[in-house]
Amino acid sequence: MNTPITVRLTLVSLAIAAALSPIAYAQGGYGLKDANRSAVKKEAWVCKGCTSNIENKGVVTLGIATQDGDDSHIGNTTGTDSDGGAVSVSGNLRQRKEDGTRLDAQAHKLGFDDGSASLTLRSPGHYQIYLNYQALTRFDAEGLTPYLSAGGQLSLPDDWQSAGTTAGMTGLANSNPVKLEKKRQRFELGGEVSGDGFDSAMNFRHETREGAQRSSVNLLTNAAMVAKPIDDSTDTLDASVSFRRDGFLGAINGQVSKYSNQYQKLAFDNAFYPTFGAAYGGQMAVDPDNQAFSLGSSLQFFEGRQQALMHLRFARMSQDEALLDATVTGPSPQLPIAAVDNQVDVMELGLRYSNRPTRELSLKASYDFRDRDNKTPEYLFPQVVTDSIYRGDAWNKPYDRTRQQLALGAQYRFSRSWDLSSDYSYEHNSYNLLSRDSVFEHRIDAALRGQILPNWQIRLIGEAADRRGGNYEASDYTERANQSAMRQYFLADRDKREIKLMTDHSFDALSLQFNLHTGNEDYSDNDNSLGLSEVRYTGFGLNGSYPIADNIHLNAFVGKDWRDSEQAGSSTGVSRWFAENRDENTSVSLGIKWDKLWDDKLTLGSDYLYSDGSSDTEVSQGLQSLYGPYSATRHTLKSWADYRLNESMSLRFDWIYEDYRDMDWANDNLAMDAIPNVILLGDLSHDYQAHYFGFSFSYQW
Amino acid sequence: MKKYNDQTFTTGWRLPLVGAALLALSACGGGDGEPGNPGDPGGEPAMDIQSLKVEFMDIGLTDGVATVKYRVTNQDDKVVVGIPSATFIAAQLVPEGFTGAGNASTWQHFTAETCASTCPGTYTDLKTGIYTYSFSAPLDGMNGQTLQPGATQRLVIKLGGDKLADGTALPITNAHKDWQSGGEPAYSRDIVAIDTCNSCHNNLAFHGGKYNQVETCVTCHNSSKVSNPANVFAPMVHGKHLTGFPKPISDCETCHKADDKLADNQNWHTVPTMEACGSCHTAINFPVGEGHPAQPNNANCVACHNPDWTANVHSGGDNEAVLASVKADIVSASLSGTTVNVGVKLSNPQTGEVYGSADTLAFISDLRVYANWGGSMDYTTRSARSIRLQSTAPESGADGVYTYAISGLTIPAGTEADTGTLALQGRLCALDGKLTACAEGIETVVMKSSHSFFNATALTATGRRTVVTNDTCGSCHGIQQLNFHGARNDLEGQCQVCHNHNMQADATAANPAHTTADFKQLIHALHRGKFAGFETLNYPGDIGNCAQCHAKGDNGVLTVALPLSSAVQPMALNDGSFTSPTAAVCSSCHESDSAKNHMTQQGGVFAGSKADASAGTESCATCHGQGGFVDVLKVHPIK
Repeated sequence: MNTPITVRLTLVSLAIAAALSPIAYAQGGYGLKDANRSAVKKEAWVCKGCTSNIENKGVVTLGIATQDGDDSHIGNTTGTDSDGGAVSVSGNLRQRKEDGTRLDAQAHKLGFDDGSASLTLRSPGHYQIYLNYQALTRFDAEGLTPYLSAGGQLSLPDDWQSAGTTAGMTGLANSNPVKLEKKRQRFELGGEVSGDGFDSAMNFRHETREGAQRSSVNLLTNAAMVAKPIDDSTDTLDASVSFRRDGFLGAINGQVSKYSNQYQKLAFDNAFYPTFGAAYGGQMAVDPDNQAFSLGSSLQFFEGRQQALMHLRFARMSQDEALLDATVTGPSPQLPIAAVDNQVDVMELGLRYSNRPTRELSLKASYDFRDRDNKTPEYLFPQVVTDSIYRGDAWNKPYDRTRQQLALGAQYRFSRSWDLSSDYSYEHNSYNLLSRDSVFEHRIDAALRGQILPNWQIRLIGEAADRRGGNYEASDYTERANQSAMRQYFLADRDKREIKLMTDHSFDALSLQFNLHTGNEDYSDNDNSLGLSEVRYTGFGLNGSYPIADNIHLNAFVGKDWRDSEQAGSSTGVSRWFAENRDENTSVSLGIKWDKLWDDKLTLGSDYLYSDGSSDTEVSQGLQSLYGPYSATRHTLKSWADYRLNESMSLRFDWIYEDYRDMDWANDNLAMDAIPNVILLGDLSHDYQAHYFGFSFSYQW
Repeated sequence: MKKYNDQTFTTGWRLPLVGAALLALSACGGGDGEPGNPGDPGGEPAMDIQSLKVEFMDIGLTDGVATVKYRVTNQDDKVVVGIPSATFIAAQLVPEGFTGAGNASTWQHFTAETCASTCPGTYTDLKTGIYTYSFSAPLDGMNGQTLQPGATQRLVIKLGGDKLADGTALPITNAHKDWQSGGEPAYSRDIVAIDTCNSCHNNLAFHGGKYNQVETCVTCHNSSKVSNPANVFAPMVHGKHLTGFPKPISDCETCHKADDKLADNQNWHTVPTMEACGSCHTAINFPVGEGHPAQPNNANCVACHNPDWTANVHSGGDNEAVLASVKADIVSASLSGTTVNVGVKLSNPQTGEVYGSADTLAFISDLRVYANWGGSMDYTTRSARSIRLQSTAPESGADGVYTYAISGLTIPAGTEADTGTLALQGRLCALDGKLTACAEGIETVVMKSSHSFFNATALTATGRRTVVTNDTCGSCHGIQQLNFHGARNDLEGQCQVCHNHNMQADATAANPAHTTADFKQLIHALHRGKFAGFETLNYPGDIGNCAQCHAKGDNGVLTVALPLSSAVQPMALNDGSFTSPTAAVCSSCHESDSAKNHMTQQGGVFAGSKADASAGTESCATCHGQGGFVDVLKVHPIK
């Protein structure tokens, strides 16, 4: 949608460049950077259209909202999960002083679960200081659990009676509801200082997560799904400085981040009879505290029509949290070390070169290198099948990867409206510890862009990529060699073909965009390989907008995607089973906006959104068996009316209706004790129709 | 010349008549001179039938009714025409997990239909060696089972046990074909071969001998057909072998042998179920949670009992690794008076490392050498001399070879040119498949015992005759897996060093041959359940098949052939009397009075003087000798 603006700017730039320096035009490059600006008398420029810089504007909105329904999932659409009333404050204040200094303060639905606020002080061209806050909540579902969560410990009630299977657990009847929702809050403080030929920026973020997510704990054959508590934070500090000189741009940037988890482990009571010994409880490691830093630099050179860029980055992530004991019950096998100095280093190098030898032809080449080096020391660790069952020792093996990519590209412009571009790339990956130690891919694509009619642009893109690799080798680090026919999809030979068509029409007021893509990925290097064998996908999207009248705007979108994947498996290595996944998703939107009603005081709007995703899985081994439904369907209707009482006051009414249903055959209608050896969180599916009504009053000056 | 039976069994006789009428009409009204459809190729009819081969030509469903067309030939590929009866069994295999998560693939029985004088379906002899059969009704719904499209189907044809019209007997033959309505079967359940069963059982057959293939058994012995769960094939077979199994029952690979021809031969450790595992682990009640954490179904078995673990605990995998790291060789021997000086070398054949002497090695729990003299006379004493190497300092040693002296051999004058035997046995201390220092609580692994022959000056290649081999014993007991007296498993040459004719039989016993520990007597009596302490032994094969245990001698003839080797000595009784060698051996099985009288009349001596018993008066070989008209090699069902 920004295309017209871009075109306009480009034309203006060209016009300026052409007018100011015909010599540069002829001998140097064609970009603004090549313009001879030494003769420009900038001090003589006057902004004749500019009026006073002083500005003091604002709008404050107070809102109240109510919604029905007891499924908090609606909160993903409305931003609040409150069943009943909720109050919010929004606002936008802008102050500009004579010297150009600006102060902006914004708030959006503070009081809701999803709310944000920002405060910015800036002097354009000199500095900027900002303070941001943003809250984002993801509502999953409400489950049932017999566990009480406190301080990383999941405890059962004092009167809990263990049983061999869930059917015998009378205590399940007294389970507590638990909300599975994640609330993120981000606080951001940053600033930028710009000067003549340099820019610098610094940004500090503190992001916290709270809530609970679906997880499971297990002891040998028995397991319980639990609401795993989340309480962690990530602090990140970014800093960068860049310098510009004639024909040169250099930048260095760095980042330091630290992750802190309030929990060091997730310990739990065993709700079942201990399978062996005295395993009345267990524990699981959680994400450990860790820290990372990166330091990067980039250099960019310009010379005539040539441009070269070099980019370097080094990053290190490290973690040395104390290891948990191997078991909690009985004597625990001795660990070789109390805490491992985990360290992963990443080194990146990027080189790019582009040139435009003629007006029609441009060329580019690039090389990228990325090396991941896991420097974690190796120890012989005891292997624990489950609590108190020690089964030998194994080395931790650090995984390394090196990726290199070479790319060459060319673009030829036949005319202003037609061009053809093509790229070739070669990517080489080296691994250790995997079944293949190297994988390489050749990829080529071509894109034709053109204007068939003045109002009708098309773009046709084709891509072909073939991936191959070294021999498959059994890992030395597993007890038994892998089945030789087994193929991991990211290492397997792959032939990929894809074609895309995009068109953009504008017929008077009607604008239409259409895109179509289809592709195929073939993974089967022989008839007996096991794993993903083929993926086929096709999709289209149609987007249109049309003003029925000068105050009625219509827009619509319809999109659909199909993705079929096939895989083969075997439990014996001899006879094979086959599975086909057929994924399909549809999205439709329809919007209308009707303004300038009632003496230009009333605006009405309505958006209808429909989305549907489903996945069918069919497994066959002679017999065909179709798994049950796995889908999510959503209808959302958002309507609003905005009525301006006078120059400074307005009222707004929002109505949101949502009909949502998801189905998962593996979970639907399951009671907590539906599986003998797994305590479930109950049925976590959704099926609701809910309304949201919001009313707000705005005052602006 | 054979006569052919043109009988067609049919219940739907009207249809063939109508068909015949149509053919007749066509023949009359046609007259266009075109030749008729060529018949299926027949070939020359068989004159001699030792075995039947069934070639399946076509199997399919017609309106849901299974039909089969097959060709029967004899051992020489000559067609067999006029087979009067046959049994047809139809069953379906549903794949692993079909009947519930974790459940094994399962056979489902549809029907078994026999055509003899009557026939439920339509049996047609095309007189060309080709036969067709249509079952009596659509398979779907038979025996309450649903025909699953795409499922692997099995058709079994049982032929034989009767005669052709000319009196030629037809051997019982079970043939099967796995098929699928839409192409090749996508999965199978081929786990055990009947040849494996028959390595111990000879020509196993059940139900009046009609069914002799595992592939047949499973079509009925499944939960859709038998009402008692203990009669489902896997639990039934496991259960029947729980007692009296001739080797450790925990070694599943005794029967579940790795075999590329059997696609599912690894099922025993990849698909654990409470039905299969519980049939040996009988103290477990899975649903109740007795002896094992409660498991209401098979869904979680593999969560703990992964294939590697299951294989590991049910095989001697760790032990094999330990044994492969130690080799004990007797590398020299020579006599000095009645003392034999024995050179022993211990090494690691995998690395070439040469170990020190046994008394310096912490991982040696036990290492012994036994010695006896008199290879041509089945030894001179029952009390072989021995030495314990792990507690004896060697007399001398160099280059890893340590020399020990075993004294006190019985070497009668005049036998100095004979040979002796040295038997070596031992135990190693190991943990998790690796040698370790012996200590309290450390398990020991029994080494494979071995024997060597020697004469007065050196080791020799030959010595005491070989009658049975570790391989023949191993066909049931596993090769050197049966340990007696702790660590003795060289059944071929070690046992006989002590269990020889110097042992005495109980003269007062009804059949003294059942009472002596002389190996040849002991082993016959024991396998017939006649030896004290082995009364419950139920010999699994045909006891008359001497070749199950006996090996061929150097002359290429089975060692049971008469006359017996001159090394065989009379049987000693504890009243000082002796029984002549052949009579002693034969009377172990042939123990009736008439048999005994026959032996006596032909020169056999029972409980006579040593001189009489050794006089060579036995004339058994005259008739029972090799080539004789009642050659023992022919009158016994030797295979």
